[in-house]
Amino acid sequence: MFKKVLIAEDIDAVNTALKKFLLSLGAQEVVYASYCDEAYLKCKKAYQEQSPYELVISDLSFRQDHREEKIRSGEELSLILKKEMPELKIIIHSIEDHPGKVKKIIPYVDGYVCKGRKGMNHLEQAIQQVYGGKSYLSPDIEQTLHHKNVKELSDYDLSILKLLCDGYIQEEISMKFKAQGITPFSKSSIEKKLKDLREEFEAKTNPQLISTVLTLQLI
Amino acid sequence: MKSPLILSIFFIVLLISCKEKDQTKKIQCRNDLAAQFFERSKETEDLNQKLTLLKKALAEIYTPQDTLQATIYDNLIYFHNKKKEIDSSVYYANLLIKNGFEQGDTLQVAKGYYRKAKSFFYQNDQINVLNNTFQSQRYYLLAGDSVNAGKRLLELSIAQTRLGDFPASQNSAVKALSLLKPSKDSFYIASSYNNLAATYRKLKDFDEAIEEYSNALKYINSSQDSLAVVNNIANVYAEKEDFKKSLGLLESILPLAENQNFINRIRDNYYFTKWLSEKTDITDSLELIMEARSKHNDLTGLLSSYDHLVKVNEKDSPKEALRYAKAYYETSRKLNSVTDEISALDYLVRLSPVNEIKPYALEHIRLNDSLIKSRDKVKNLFAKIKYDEEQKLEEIDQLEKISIQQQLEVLRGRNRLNIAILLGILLTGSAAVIYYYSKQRHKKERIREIHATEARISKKIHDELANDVYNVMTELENPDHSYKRGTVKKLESIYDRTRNISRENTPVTTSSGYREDLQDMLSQSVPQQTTLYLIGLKDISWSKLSTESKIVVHRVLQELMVNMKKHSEASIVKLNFKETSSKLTISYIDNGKGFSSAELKKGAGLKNVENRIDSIGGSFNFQPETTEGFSAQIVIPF
Repeated sequence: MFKKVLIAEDIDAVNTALKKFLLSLGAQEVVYASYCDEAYLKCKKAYQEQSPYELVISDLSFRQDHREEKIRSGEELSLILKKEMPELKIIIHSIEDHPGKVKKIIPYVDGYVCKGRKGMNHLEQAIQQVYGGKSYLSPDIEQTLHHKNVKELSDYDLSILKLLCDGYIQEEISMKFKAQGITPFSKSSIEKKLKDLREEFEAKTNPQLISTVLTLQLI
Repeated sequence: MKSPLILSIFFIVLLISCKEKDQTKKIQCRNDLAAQFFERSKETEDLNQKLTLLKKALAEIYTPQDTLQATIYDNLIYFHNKKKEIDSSVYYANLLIKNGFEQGDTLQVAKGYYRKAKSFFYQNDQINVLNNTFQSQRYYLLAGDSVNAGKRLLELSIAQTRLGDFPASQNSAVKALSLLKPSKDSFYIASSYNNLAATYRKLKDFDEAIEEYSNALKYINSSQDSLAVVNNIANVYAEKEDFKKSLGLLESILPLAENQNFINRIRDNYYFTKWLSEKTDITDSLELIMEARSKHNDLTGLLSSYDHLVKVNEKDSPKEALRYAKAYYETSRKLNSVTDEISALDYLVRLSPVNEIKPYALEHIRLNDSLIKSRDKVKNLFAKIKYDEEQKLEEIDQLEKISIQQQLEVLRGRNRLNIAILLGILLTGSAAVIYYYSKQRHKKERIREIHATEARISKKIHDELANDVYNVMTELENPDHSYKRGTVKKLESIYDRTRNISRENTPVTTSSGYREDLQDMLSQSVPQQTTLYLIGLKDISWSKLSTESKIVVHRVLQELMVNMKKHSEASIVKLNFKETSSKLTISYIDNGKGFSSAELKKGAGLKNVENRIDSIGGSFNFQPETTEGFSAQIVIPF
């Protein structure tokens, strides 16, 4: 477990909760900073004193106040920290779940946890994963990022479905594809593809698949 | 550092000295050599000395603007005339005219012509007198000096009478009168009437002549002058053979006359008229008058004495008559009076012995011819002058017309330009107004839209969040409250919805990352247990869509997903994107519960979708009241 952890977070309640949580996980030194600049300076100082922080848990957005900050967001902070101290692990702990924004940050952080009902749970998982040298994304973020629930049917898929609807059997589809120069045209490949499609559309048989496809007007 | 100071002092000194120079120059203008010579010429009495001094003064004048120059010319003309050096005076008169033209001083030009006419008059060159007088009056008229123009016209009229062009003379005299009458210059007015009368008399129009002489009388101030006019009237009556009246008039003026020559004239006329009327012998009286006249060297008077004596003696003592005729001829030649010469020759031809007639006859013919010729010449000359003048006036008229036309043209052009400018201003003005108005309207629309959005969000927060938060609050305030998990669950739901509202209102990427952004949004909106099929999304050329349409598509799909999530419980959702040249078609199908029409009416979401699509001219169709699934079609024009 990480021994020296810095929390960059501008809400004190969250800070206290996090500190307690981290100490319970086995961290020995937990320090927090309310501003990005402050976080950066603390990291830098510890780094120069040969006792660097091992993990930084940072929020993304910080409320602007009277102080003139050089680093204004967790994004900028992560970027600069990763650049100057590549060994330092960073986990983003934020309310932000916009895929576009998350995508931008992922390359230079080690974990991304969305704040939420199961936030602490995910954070614990994240710390363990990151400690083990892996990266971590909370499940909801992962789903949107990888579009797990969104499928784009390829032309190949559509062609198979179309021919199936027209009453072709697998062999005939294979021959047709061969004649039209569509690859792969082997019977086994087509069979495998159909199996995948049936799974995808929750159909047990080919006729059921056709029914679903037609109902959805996919072809 | 010193040198600029010295320099500036030097300049100041220079400036001051320049000023001083200017002042002295002004003083010199009145006290220069030209003025000095001119003053000296005034002082001396000797004509030659005067002329040399004037010429010296003239040589000292360097600028044509100098007004002294014209004065010097005028003096030179005057004194040269005095010395009978007509050539020189004409020369300076020409210079005076030239200078007048150069300085644009029309009055000076008129004066120059007048001086020139005077010089020719001294030379008895009546034709040139006529010519220059005519020019002089013309320039006086141009300069607006009607009095001097009238005076010159009178002189012109007199010259014309002398040259025998009576109708022209009358014309000039009438014009002169019209110009002179307002001036009340009685001498010139009287002279004009007198001259007019003389022409009528020459033309044998006696009644007119008498009337004009009477008019002249009204304006004459001096009694002696009026006596001369009365004498003339008497002569006209005599010519009219109204001897009684003539004699009466002559009798009445005889005692009033003062001048001896004039007395002689009256008496001569009186006796001759008496002889004409009564044929009484008055030869002795006439001879006495003749002797008195020759004693006074009154040559003009002698002419009429000889004339009368010839006439009186012609019948009874032709020899006496011949003697007087010869005297008449000699005197007329001495006076260079052609008309008298001709009448004298006439008598000589009639009275002389046959062998002496021929030379007189020849001379008579020659003189008569030349007289007629010169009269014709004068008439032609004057006609030519007038014709030239009219031609010139016509040309001037023409030029004025052209220049007026040009001015009109310019004005018209300017008007056209003005109208064009005005139109331009109007156009840009109205364009600006329209632009401003539409911008304002657009602004208003935007403000309205923003306001509507704000209202929508506000309502959402109130309806979806505030109530629930309040419920949780009351729950927590209940002292018996112990069901912690339920509260946390409720709070999570509130938290999720808050983020949904935030998500629904995050700005849409409309540039290059639009498709990815759209896909992200869809993925995020679809619940975990539901699968969304996207067909043809990759093939759509989003760049063809306007920014507004892109935003609408994004928001509408978002709205549809939210709707789906809320109500349908669908496990499979399909979005089919199709693109033709003019439009983008998106069809939505899910396998959920579908809507009842009551639900549809209640849902603000679909209404919102419809409004949004309407705003970009697209269409939104859905199948209502389906129990199995929900389908809709969105068409968006490119």
